[in-house]
Amino acid sequence: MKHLVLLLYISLLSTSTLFGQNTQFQKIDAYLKAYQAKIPIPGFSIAIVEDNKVVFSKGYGVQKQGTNISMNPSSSLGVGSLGRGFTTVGIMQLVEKGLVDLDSPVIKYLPWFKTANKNFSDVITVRMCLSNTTAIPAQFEAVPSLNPDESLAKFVRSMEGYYVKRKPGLAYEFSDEGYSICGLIISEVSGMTYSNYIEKNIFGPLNMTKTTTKPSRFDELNVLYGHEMALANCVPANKSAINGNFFPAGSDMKSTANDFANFMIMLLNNGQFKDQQFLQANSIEEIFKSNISFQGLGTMLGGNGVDIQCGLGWLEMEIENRTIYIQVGNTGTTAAIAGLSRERNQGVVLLFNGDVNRLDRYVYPTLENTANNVIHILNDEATTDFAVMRFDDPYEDEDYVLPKAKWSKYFGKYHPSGQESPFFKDINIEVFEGESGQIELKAFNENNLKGHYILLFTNESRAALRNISHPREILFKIFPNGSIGGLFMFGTEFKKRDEAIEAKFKPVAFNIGTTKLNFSLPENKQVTINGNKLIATFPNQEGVDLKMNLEDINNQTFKTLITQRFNDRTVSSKGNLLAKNLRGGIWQEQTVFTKEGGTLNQHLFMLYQDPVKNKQVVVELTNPFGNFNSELQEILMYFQRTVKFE
Amino acid sequence: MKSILLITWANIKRRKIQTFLVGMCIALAALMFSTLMGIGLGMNQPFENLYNRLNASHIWMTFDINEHDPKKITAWFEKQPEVESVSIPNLVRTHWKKPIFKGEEILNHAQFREHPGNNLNQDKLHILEGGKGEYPNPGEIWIPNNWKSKNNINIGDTLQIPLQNGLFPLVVSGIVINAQNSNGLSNPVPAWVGPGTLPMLFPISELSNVSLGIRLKNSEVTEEVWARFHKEYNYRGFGTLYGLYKKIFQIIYQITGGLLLVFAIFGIIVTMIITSSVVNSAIKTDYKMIGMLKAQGFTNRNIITGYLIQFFVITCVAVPIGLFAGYFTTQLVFKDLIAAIGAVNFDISWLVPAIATFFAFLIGVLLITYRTASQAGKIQPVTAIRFGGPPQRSFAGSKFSLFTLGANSKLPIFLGLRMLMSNKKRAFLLFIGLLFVVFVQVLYTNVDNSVLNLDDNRPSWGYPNTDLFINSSAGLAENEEDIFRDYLAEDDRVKEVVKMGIYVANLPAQEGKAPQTFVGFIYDDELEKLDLINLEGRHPVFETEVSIGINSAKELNKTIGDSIEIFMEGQLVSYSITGIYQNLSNLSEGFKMRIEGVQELNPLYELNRYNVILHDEENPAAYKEELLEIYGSTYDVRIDSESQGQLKNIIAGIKSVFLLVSLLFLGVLFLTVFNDTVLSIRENQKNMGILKAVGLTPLQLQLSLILKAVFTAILAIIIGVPLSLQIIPSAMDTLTSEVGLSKFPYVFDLNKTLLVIPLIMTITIGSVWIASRRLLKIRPRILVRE
Repeated sequence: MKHLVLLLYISLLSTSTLFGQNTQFQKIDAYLKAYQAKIPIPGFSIAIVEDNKVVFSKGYGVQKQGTNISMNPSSSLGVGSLGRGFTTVGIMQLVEKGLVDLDSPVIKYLPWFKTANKNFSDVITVRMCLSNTTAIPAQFEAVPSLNPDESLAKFVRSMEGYYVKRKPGLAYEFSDEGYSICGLIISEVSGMTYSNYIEKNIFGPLNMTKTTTKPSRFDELNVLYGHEMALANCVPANKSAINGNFFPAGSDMKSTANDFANFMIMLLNNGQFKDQQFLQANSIEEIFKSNISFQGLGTMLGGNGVDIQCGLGWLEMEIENRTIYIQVGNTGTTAAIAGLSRERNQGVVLLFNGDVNRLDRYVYPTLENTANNVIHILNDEATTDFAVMRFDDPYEDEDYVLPKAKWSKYFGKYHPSGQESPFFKDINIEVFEGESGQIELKAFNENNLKGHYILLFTNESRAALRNISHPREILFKIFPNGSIGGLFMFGTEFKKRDEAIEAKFKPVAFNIGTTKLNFSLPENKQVTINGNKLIATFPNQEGVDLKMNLEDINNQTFKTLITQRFNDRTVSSKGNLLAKNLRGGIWQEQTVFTKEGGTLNQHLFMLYQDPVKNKQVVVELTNPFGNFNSELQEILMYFQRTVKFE
Repeated sequence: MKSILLITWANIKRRKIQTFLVGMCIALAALMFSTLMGIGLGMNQPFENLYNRLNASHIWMTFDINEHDPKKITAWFEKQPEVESVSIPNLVRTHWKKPIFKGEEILNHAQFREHPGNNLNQDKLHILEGGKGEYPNPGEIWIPNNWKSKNNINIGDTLQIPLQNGLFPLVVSGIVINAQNSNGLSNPVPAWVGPGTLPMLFPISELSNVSLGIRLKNSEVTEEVWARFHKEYNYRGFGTLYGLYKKIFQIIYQITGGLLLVFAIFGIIVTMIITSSVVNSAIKTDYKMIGMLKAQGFTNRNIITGYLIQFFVITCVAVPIGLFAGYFTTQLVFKDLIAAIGAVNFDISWLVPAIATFFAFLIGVLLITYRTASQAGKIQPVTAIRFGGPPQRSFAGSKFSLFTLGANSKLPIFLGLRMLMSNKKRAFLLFIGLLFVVFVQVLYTNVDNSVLNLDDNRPSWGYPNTDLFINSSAGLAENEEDIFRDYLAEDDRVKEVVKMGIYVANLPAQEGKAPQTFVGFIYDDELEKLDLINLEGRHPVFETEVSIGINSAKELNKTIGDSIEIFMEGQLVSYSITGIYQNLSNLSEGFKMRIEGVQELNPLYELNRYNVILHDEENPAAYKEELLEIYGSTYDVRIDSESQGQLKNIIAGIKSVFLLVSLLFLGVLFLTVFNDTVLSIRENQKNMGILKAVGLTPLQLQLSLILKAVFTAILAIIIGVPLSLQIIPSAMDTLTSEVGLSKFPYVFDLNKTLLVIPLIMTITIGSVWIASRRLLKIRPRILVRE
């Protein structure tokens, strides 16, 4: 019976929840239906609030490409930077309690906080963090950890490696770092983790029951992971690695249109939600008050060029003689936009289960245009072409044809060179002749498709990536002898793989019961397996052995593991403790040098943990100092590239 | 013999002041001689010597081990008969976050290299400080010398490396120089860590690049071997060849080394002149004594032997003193030179210039002594004893006479001229010495002026004449309107905005040459707006035109009107050459082209750099601050004075070297004039006594000596300055042509050059004044013995 009620409830939500049948809502519904038919994103949801109540909420399309489950306003998905608003509110709550001062320096709350040039970081205030004026450049580089709350602190501490090049407080610059700092301030001042704080003090009181930053709740909330973009449609995205680093900036916050509507009501109602004064009115004014401005959307991009004012987490835009407070977020596979008209007490939020921000802007309406028009219709105004591109697709007239005889040289697999962009870690590319009869490119993260494109060549070395997303250009590295060395895509260099080199490495299976660990080692290795231990040695590499221990994930941190491993030896120096997301798990590594009887030994210590399989492998390569060479480096690189729990 | 020794010793004791002065002259001359000789030896082919001593690789390759198997490449090179050795592959990692020292970013980006050890017989490092052991220990780093000099980093300091999770400390345990990158003008600059220690800093997934060095038996076949490798091996990595390393080294060396060698030669000539005249004067002062000795039965040989012993003793004492000072002066110069250009000939030991100086002076002084003493041996005892000196030089043979000067002539002028003309040979030597000094000072002043005022003369060095240089760090989306450009162009303070970009093209393989990178500067407007100039021809205007650097023109044997094939956008395209320019930043290689030329191949090609010229009254620094406030770090804004920072730093470093040498020459000037004055007084002792007796004041006598020197100085200035201005520019062109400055941007500064005149005059007058103070004490009774 309980299930039946639930199904009925879901069914009701999935169709529509119209709180009024007035003409405006019908028009909005019609407009959004037409919009949904235009865009290749499988589904989205909307909630509109007016006069402190939700007046319209509905889902359009489906939750997942290839399924029939309808999108509804309670569908939970990643909201990206919309999450910043919650961090702002969290800080304002602490301001009201007298625990935080917006204009105090960060070091008052995080005394250890510093960038490489401490004189600059010492003057960064909480307000600068929330108004994106810290001058800390956006790095987008995560410091991953299996424990997201722990990784936030690690991330903020890692900013000691940032060099701030200009005086803080002078200019707006998009950056997640300021919000991460504020998230940690919330945590330090309140004595709770960031996730717990906002869950208890914001989501709870605002009745946002399907909003969370806790990965442990994602399954329970049936969180949607959005879609990747392919040639003519979207393909479901896989659950991506979660980094607690950017929680306060939004990244992995999941929410629903209905939940976010409550948040908007509170903001529009001077901090009051239902009978509760959630925030003081002056705190709300502080949130929307402009701290700094920057240049608005240009006319060619469909804007008016009017400066955008930056509040605390919200941007104030003058659009067609109205003041709209905007937040836009995207995660690469989902997108969201929220717009508030404080003068009319109206708010709109749209959540998409595909990154509509990335759609081809020459073909599809933009996110900003859609949200703006919804507000227009709500007020019985005509729709406009705000934020619609005002120039033609430059590739449309492209008449260059790459001779078919030359196609084959482009085909093959490409891997990122040493230092890939943070957005394209572990992406591999394949160029091939596709079913379209044209040269196509697929980008993969492991086996997960991250993008599928047709290559529209504009000359022998350049091509536009065409699919439903906005066209981007890639550049092939061609040598004067005509051979292809690699390609540059999205700021990362990818090099063409040498199959002969890859052939040197052969798969090894390390099985303990039902646990199977796959990886590749050079063909000429010698492997001994004893229970859960494996030792590999290599010819021509004297005094070197690679040891592996297969075990269940335990509570020991990597640091503790290393300390225990070397507790009976003299550790002379340690390297940087490095971590990265790898195949849904975490890879950590550290180099340790020990002194044993006057000899310096090098230990490259690695730990790969797969939380889904609850397994980990501890790997240690030992060699006398001075003996580590490029061959050993290659072995470790291929090991990391191929290691996977089955 | 005993009597000769006794007389010699008595002579030394009797003429203490003279002996001291002679000794000081020799010591100073030895100081200059040994210093300049040391510099000369140190600057003699330092690059080649360092390269050979460190067994440096002529081909330096870096490639991805995912792309190439190092063993296969090694095997290919090992088979080539020209190859001497192939290094082991070492991990390298270029890091685009600058190391932090004391809270500030250092000047360069670093390429961290694992050093396999100085025990290996290839690509060794020259250790300047620290560097104990074969390679740095874990947690340590060996830094290039230019990091030390530019950032004041020393052994034991800690560099912080910005990494994924914060800063990682590396303790500096060595200050080194490597052959290829010794002057630090390249970016990134290599720094060395121990083998296997890069994983301490970077994840193993990001350590796929290795370096491989190829050392050849003969550097001249580098291009040939590299071309063959490219022909036979589908190589996709990077390679830098000996020729390029040498050119980069020579950017500074050509200017510094060339000039210092010129200075050294001048200096050596001048020191010889000084020494010669000092010895001459000292012997001739003993005129009367020689006569007396001869009267007592001393033979010419006895007299010569006496003087040889006397000057042998003085030289043996004075030269080591000069050498001692010379050693420290040379070390000072070398310290600055190493900081500035990266290398000198470390092989030379101080013993070489020391021994050479000692023997050169000993032999030189003894020869001069022998020659002068031989002449002195011819002195007639009667005349010498009677007159106390050689017959006074008269106006005989001189066109000058008391009467020809006219009634209104001042007596000191007359006397000055008389003394000048009375010993033409010495006057000529003084003139030559002064001429060299004038030349060196004019050269120093104007070359120093030319390089230090690079900002005022940027187009001549190949740099655009802009107030602000802005780089769009984010880049523009395709066909997005350029709001930023509009913003700049509409600002009343902005005079011009010219966008530019860098295009990395290739030159196809040619006979005996591998394909090579050919870097182009692409502009969207007239290059004249940036005041860019050509050595010949004009800037490209149409899409089919290019102008090329002078060194590329030489290498490719191209001239204006020729066509050049450039590999761009995956195709070989032919362009017509309209101009030839020089550009120091790119060693006058590469090309310039209008944007239409690239857009013809790729219509979506966009430029992302902005050259902004402000109206004269505007302040670029204030404008920069304003842009930063509006745009944050979306744009990297530099004002002109922040550009070419590394080059300017190096040039500033050289300034102290030139200043030191220039001061040495001024010291020489003082000495030369001082000595000449002392000699003149000696020669004209009797006349001066008479003149004093007839009422001339000592001041008038001093004035006459001053005027004598001033006349010579004026003559040296009148001839030396115009001559220098004629010779120096073309000499500089020759010196710097190899590094791309076929026309050295010589900026003649009249005011600074004119300042040389009072400087020389002041030292000249001061020197005479000090030397002639004793005249005040001369009593006519003593002087007039007749």
